[in-house]
Amino acid sequence: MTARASSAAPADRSQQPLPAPAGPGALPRYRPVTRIVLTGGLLSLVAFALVRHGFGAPPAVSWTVLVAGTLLSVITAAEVLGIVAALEHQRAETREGRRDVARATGRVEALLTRVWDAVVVTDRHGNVVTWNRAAERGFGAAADRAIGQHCAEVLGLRSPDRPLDCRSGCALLAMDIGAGGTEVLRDRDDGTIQALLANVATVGDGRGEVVEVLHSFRDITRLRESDDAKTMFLATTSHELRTPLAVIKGFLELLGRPGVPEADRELALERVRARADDLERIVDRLLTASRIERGKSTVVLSQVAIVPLVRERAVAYDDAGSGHRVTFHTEVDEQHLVVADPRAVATIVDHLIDNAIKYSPDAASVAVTVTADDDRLVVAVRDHGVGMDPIARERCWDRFWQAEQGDDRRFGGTGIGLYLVRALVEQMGGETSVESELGAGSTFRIVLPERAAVPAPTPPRPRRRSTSVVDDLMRHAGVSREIG
Amino acid sequence: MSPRRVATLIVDDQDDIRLLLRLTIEAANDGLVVAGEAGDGLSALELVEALAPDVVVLDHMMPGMTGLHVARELRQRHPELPIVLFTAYLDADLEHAARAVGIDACLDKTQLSQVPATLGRVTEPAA
Repeated sequence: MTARASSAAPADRSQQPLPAPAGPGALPRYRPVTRIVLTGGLLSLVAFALVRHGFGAPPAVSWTVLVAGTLLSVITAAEVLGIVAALEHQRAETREGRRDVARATGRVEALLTRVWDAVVVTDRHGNVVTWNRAAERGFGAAADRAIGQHCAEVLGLRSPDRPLDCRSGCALLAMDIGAGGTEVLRDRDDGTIQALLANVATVGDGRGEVVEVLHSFRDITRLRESDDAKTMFLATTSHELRTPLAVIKGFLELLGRPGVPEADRELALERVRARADDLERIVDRLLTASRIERGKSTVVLSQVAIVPLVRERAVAYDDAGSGHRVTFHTEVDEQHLVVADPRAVATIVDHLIDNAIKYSPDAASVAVTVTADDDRLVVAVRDHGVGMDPIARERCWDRFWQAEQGDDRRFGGTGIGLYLVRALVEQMGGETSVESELGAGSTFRIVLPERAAVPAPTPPRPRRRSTSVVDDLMRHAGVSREIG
Repeated sequence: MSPRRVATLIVDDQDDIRLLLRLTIEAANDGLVVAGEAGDGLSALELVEALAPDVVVLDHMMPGMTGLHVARELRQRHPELPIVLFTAYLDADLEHAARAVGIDACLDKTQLSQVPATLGRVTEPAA
């Protein structure tokens, strides 16, 4: 039974096509087996011949030899088939293994290419062996230049107060950083500072020796700036609120004293009212910003005659005695309608005029114009003030961003004004833009559509529109994913 | 004996704060008078030359020159002229920077009531 079973299995396997030996290296393993088969077969033939032709051998011996030879042949053939099948199985596993390795290699290469994080692998001495595309972008060096270099030379990392010393071993490994990584800095060639979230892991040889060190770096510069801006916002807003409060409190203390001349008393009351209005405006802006941050609609759209509305705001500022003339000019018909929220338009125009006055301390005038452009209306506010450089021009719409930082700030503000302007304009289906040059003033424009993108209900009535500023927020959050 | 007269120059870009300082100084009635008011740093430097005040009350955050810039300039031209920084943005860093340029005293704008006493203190003749 056992023999049958053992001979049956190779027979079954023999149904499968057996490929020829893969190469010269496999042939010698077949030779002894082949010899056994040939010998067995030969013995069988001899025995058969003896039986058939009666060369004097007793028939019992001849039959015994025949049976033995045949059995030997069958067994050796079975062995051969078993060996061949085992070899084939081994080769199939090897082929599958090669495919697995190829797949894994492809997967790693795709990951290294596509991943946003810079991945840098060094050998145990710190020489770069892998440098992915994000590393090329983030560290400004091509892979063929970086590979082979010592990581200290191509990465140039530092902690806030000193360079990382990678000469006597990986400095990041020495920091024993947790799973969350650690923040390191890098001075870019253009003088700006890059903030990176670094992570590190080792690759061992299975015997406790480190053979490679894997580093990953995520650019968190914009995230850090955003965080700093938020901190700055809290500080500046507190101060923005404290100034009018201090003035109101100071005047109230004075008014409580006897002997203040009547004229001064009137002046003081007028200033208290003005500062209370300032406070109300600041708090309103904060509340609007908060609603926008939560993705809530802040505008109620209707058909609005925008020319009288913008003129009213310009005249109000002109009369306010800020020291600046605020002029208004338009050739657009008084009754020209746009789809807008009148309160939002007033807030926007107020903020743009406020800004123009604030940033043009040495200039005498601010010009407000309304023009028609195809089926859109353009409100422009032009000043001749300090202007902006290209970076400020790009970033002035960002939430909490301010042109000035630190103790040398001259202009105050909370850094949410232009962010609100853009968000409100976009909620009304419009667009914002700015032209500016350092030292030559700025022109801020808002473009509002004359008709609603969606037909207004009939009869016309205020309609809530829920265009959110998700794009803005996504951009704000998503920029941190950029490397470089 | 009548109190000694202390002529003060007020420097602040916000007119209501200048008014508030003027009324507070005048209401103190202990020899403090307002010699003049300036709305920016350059005007302040000119008025110091023109009016020769005994003390300057100086805002920090102003368009053009900041208070620290004005103080640095004044310190070079008039090493003995007392300067009081009166700002809404007072913190340890700013106070440290103010001391470094030679400002005699710093007050937060919520400390308005302390202005007259501070002006008196920084203008007291050395014993």
